[in-house]
Amino acid sequence: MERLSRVLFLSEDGFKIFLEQLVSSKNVIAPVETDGCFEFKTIKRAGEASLNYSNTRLPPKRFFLPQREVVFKHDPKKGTLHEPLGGFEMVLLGVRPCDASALSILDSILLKPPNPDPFYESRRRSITVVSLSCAKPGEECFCNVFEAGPVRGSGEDITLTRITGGLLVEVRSSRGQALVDVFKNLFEKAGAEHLEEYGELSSRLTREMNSRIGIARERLVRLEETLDEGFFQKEAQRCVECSLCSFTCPVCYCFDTEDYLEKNIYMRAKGWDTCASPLFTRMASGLDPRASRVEMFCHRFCHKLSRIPLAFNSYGCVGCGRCVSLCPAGVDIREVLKRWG
Amino acid sequence: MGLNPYAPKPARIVGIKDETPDTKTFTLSPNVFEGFTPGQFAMLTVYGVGEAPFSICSSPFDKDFLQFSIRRMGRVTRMVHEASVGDEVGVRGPYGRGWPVDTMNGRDILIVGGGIGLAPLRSLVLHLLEEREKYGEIAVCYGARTPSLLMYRDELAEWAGRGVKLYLTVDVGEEGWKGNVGVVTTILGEPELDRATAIVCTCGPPVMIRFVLRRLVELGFSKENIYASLESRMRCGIGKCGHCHFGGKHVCLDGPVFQYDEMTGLPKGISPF
Repeated sequence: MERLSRVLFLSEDGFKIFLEQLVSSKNVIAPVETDGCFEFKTIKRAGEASLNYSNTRLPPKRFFLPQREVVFKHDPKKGTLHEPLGGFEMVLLGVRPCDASALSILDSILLKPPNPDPFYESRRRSITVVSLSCAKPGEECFCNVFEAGPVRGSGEDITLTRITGGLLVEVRSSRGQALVDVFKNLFEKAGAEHLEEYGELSSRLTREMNSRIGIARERLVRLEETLDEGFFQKEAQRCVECSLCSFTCPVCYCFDTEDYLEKNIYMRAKGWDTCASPLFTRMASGLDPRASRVEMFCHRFCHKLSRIPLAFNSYGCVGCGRCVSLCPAGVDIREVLKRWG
Repeated sequence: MGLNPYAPKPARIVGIKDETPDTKTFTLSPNVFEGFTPGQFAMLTVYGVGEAPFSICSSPFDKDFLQFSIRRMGRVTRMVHEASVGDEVGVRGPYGRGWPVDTMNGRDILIVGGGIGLAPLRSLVLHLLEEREKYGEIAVCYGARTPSLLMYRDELAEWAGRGVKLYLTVDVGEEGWKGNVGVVTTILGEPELDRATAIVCTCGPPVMIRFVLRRLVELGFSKENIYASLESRMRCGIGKCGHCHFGGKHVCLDGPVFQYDEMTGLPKGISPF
């Protein structure tokens, strides 16, 4: 087993108290079941959290990268308005490891010097991410391919894993430590039997997932060079350009900006955009360097599977399976991976 | 919060000059940049309307103002064209990698422009002329579709007077045009330069760049000394928004100026090849 930074044990009863005390003292966002779907919502009572879920329908990305946010205000008389960023403090509880891993990829891209995104940075600093290991990966899940789960992610502050009699608690960051410190009398030292069970669970789940889909990841990076135009023909023909794949992706981060006038203040908002949109690269002149859907797919998949890994040593996909289950045209990145790898 | 990279700094339009029927050069003051390299670009904001990337066309030696030559093309450029002297706009930058000015000392320099593509090259020419003695021959091959679409027409003669060998051409002549007629590739062989070591900088429409690059290699210019400025849709200018991301390169960070061999690795569409 990998070296853990700090491992604790939380009994079933201790977890109940932890949840109750957490919601009474902090702004807590957790999966809530509504109409058969699990979505991250603010909870006021511990009982509102539904923690028996495969994954939430939407990733928690929007808490770090809102669909739309104002990034600039300019008053024609007073000049640029400098408003302090803040008020983002919250605990995001029950994030799946794949979605937590997506955050570490976003960190490497959006916090990259010399121009880190201050809006993302401020939220990332203020939100404590508590992940909950998967006990039963969903049908479309393939986090194993990118080592983004199923038990442990790479971007969370605390990893919770259900084991006999309670939860194993891995403290992964100083933010996680600060949260644990608040409730320190609830946690016990993890015993050897806890670690052993954790280790067995981790290897069993990974083994099971590997038997469903296994890809030689190191091959993905280099295969871009050998791609021909026909490689994405099937995907390109099926695609209806709805962009659901990237809007529900926990990693996709591209954005557009919009300038407008509101109550005599000039505003600039930034909001989600996607390379799957046919207008994404078109210039005012009408020239479009990436005009075809085949080229779009090539860009989308190569970006995730070879360019991000080459630049940041981690994949731009975490295998959450949302794009697979939500695509109305049945485009399946796992098929691409199998064909590719 | 750290510096907000999405917030432009305010500057006033202090001069507007008509260059061609659809292009004007705007002079902005104060110069909100501490310095820049010729070939770098800025994001220009028309408050409440939008923001778009433009090459800086003034000289880095001009500390008091910045200039941008802007062709009326889309929503933002239309509003820029409707602006008047005294109006306030927003500027942020400078962004990207400019022309390789550090490699130019003692060498011949060939500058090849097409249409409004001369804008980022004007910044380079003005930069070179500031310390003319540091360089070998400086040749400018410049073409436009018609004589009235030639940019900076009143300045070109002045450049020639300060030590630039000027070669002009137009695709289609007009009454009174006595110069060369033909695309810019037809005049690339005219300047007498040390082709093995000369630095070449080009900017223009993508199709022009493609044929210029091909012709330069035929003429014996060295690929490692050939640079082109490419264009792309952009939103942030700092490598975050994804719009100018092609083949692992961000035009806003890795470009807009690319070396010949870097361009061969770009995907079809953005690559001039």
